[in-house]
Amino acid sequence: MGNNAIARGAIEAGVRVVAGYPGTPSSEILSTIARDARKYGMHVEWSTNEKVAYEVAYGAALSGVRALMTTKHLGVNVLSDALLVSAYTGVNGGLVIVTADDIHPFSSQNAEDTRYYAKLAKIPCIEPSNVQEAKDMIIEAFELSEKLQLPVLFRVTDRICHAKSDVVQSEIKPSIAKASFIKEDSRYVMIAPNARKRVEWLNNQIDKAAALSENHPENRADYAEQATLGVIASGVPYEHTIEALDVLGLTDRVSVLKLTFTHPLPKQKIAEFLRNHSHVLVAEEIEPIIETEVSSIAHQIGLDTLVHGRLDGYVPREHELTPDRIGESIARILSIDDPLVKVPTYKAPEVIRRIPNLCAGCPHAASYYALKLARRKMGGGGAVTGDRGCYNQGTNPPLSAIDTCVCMGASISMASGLSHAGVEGPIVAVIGDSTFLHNGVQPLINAVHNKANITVMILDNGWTGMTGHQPNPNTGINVLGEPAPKVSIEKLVEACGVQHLQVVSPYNVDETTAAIVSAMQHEGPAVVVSRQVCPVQDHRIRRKKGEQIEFPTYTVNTDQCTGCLYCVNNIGCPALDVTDGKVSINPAHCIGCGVCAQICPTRAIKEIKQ
Amino acid sequence: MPHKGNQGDKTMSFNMIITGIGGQGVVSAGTIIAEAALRDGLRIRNSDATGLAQRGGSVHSQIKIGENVKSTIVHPGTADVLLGFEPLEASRYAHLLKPDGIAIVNSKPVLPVTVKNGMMSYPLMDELKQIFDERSLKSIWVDALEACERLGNTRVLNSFMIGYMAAKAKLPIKIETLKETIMANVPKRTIELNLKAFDLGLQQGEEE
Ligand SMILES: Cc1ncc(C[n+]2csc(CCOP(=O)(O)OP(=O)(O)O)c2C)c(N)n1
Repeated sequence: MGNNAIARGAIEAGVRVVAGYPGTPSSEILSTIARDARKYGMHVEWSTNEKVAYEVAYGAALSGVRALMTTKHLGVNVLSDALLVSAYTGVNGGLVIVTADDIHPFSSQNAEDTRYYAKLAKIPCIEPSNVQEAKDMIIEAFELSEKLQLPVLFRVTDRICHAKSDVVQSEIKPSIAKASFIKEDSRYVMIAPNARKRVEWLNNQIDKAAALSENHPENRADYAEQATLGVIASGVPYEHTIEALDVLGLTDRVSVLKLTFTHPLPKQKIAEFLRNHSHVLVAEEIEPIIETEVSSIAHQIGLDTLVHGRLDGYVPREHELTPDRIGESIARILSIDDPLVKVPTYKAPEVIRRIPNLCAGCPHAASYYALKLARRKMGGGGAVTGDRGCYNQGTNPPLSAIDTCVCMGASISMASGLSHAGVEGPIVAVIGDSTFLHNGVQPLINAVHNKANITVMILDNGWTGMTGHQPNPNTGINVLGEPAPKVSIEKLVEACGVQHLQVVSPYNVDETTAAIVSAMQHEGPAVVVSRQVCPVQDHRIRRKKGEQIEFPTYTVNTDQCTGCLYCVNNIGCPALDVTDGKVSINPAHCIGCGVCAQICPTRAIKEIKQ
Repeated sequence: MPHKGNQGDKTMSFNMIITGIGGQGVVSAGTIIAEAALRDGLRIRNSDATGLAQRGGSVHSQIKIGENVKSTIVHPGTADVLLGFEPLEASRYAHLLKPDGIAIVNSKPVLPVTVKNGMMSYPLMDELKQIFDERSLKSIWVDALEACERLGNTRVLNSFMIGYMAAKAKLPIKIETLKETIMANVPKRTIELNLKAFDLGLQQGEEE
């Protein structure tokens, strides 16, 4: 997997400190490095959020050792405060940020192009185009960072992170760097007079980077003889371009400029490429960053080469590129001057979309059911602000349990806003344990301080579930699998000043409903911790230990089942099957949580006593 | 007859896609096939789309084998094999097959909750087969779940399907290598069961 290759590359480069926060598609980079942490004397940690992780890595890099920070694109927004100032101080040991951008998006709240941050912070950006390159170039990214004393943005996407390929490994060079911190206030203390001086330094450094980009061997043009069209492609779209040309039989008719060191851009190389073609197509993901610069270079040198891409509609404006999408663009451009070139179209069959759901026995589904009952008891109205995690699958039918999902921690602050605005009815924020520790604590302190009348449900399943069950400070183990102090969510909530706190198990429907009602009735912020370990992860761990997993078995009494489908419609459990209008329980999926038995209106679901 | 493999052929290229839903073992099947190809000395690219795998969403894995493989995405009209673990999810990707490609599909549907409660309707099996027929694509349908139930465990669906495919399609990978790779990739205590499923698939594929 690309993420394993990036991990390998970082280890080969002798990285000493690695910090990150999980996020698809980046997560496996850090967990892979963690497996070798002891062997190579590396410190590896899941931090509480990306800003914290970045600052840990940055601090380490100031001491002269190599440090790596891993994140998904959204985390770059979170760490950007630190990033922009760290570019002013610069680093000593190499500091690389691997950002895995979900550009489609496949599994994120937005699609984002973090390359803008490289321009904003004035730091180099490297975009490998395949798995092998990702492994090789991360080593180079560390060297580049040291040469320029700047953090380097190493930008990958899903098709590298989760792609597999044969990879040639190199030797692991254990780091010999000795950590030491040398006081240098004019550089590290960014008060305005010092910062003013560093602006010039930073501009100089990024100019030096431009010279390196100009001569980089992976910023290279392959000219096709007498080609009128040239494609400028960065990252994964480079490989798609080669494939598209191959499938269309156009390899000899189109030149390709591959860009890998993409900030700053090699302007001379681009100018020369422009001069040699009447049309240039830019294939990049996902914003027209290179395209805009290429257009401006063409304009500056007075060329009438036409630059095509996302901006003029020759490349679809949104989403990831694929070989067929690029192929279609190439053929369309060639067909302008050559009517013999056919523009291919491919039509995918139209079939119904499969809507994902929460897993069988998911405690989140049980929490949502209790929440629904509690809202009904309180006379309805209000709103449920959701947050990021498995529980945002609760938006899908049949649950349709949340009204918003925006960014980490926003559930609590947005609920506060709705409450202060005067929205009537209970306002409820729903947030997972990892998300609460990421960016939910400050919003809770804020809600208490400013007297928001809200109910906060912390759905505590003990893990960072959505991104693949990473441990967090509430899990009791760290990324190395060692026991680690467990934060007390209750004490934390109390320390924020919350006066009304209850802890329940969502598998007990009545108790959970009553707790939510009582929290809603409380004037001011109230918290319900709905605690039940994620059964998928719990069973996995116990099975690995060789434990026999036992749980109660439930069955439906078909005489009693009226086929009202209340259970299916209100918990949406995938273990519930419907045959000829009646419900049955699929023993291969059921994990015996017993929630369906508690809510069945005719009590048709019963535990089988062994 | 089991295929002998295509080792050493520099122009050989083989593309396939495995489709299904979270929990069916699509990604591990992709890993097994890609890794087996590697073990046979071939170059590979493999990319998965697992978005919300654990939560019953669509999952697919694309595998490309050959000396000149580049992009990890299978270009429409270039797949030699579509291995479908679920009928709806197989039909969704019919356009990836090349004209003489072949779809091998487990015929047992997995119904989304929104179908169970009547919100949506699941296409008829004939409509799904029609998607291949109207494109003049060959599709073979097999009740793999029933076969796995005979083995007493539906979790070996993927090994059965790989075995069945090995009998029905011309793979550039040796049967023995596939078996070795299954052994290396599944949990120790399930090795025997997975090999049984593979053999059953192979046998059933050769007989049918
Ligand atoms: C800034 C940012 N970082 C990371 C992510 C990726 N991400 C989505 S949900 C989630 C955590 C989910 O954990 P938790 O809140 O415990 O809920 P669970 O999935 O376990 O129910 C993460 C890390 C993100 N969306 N935004």
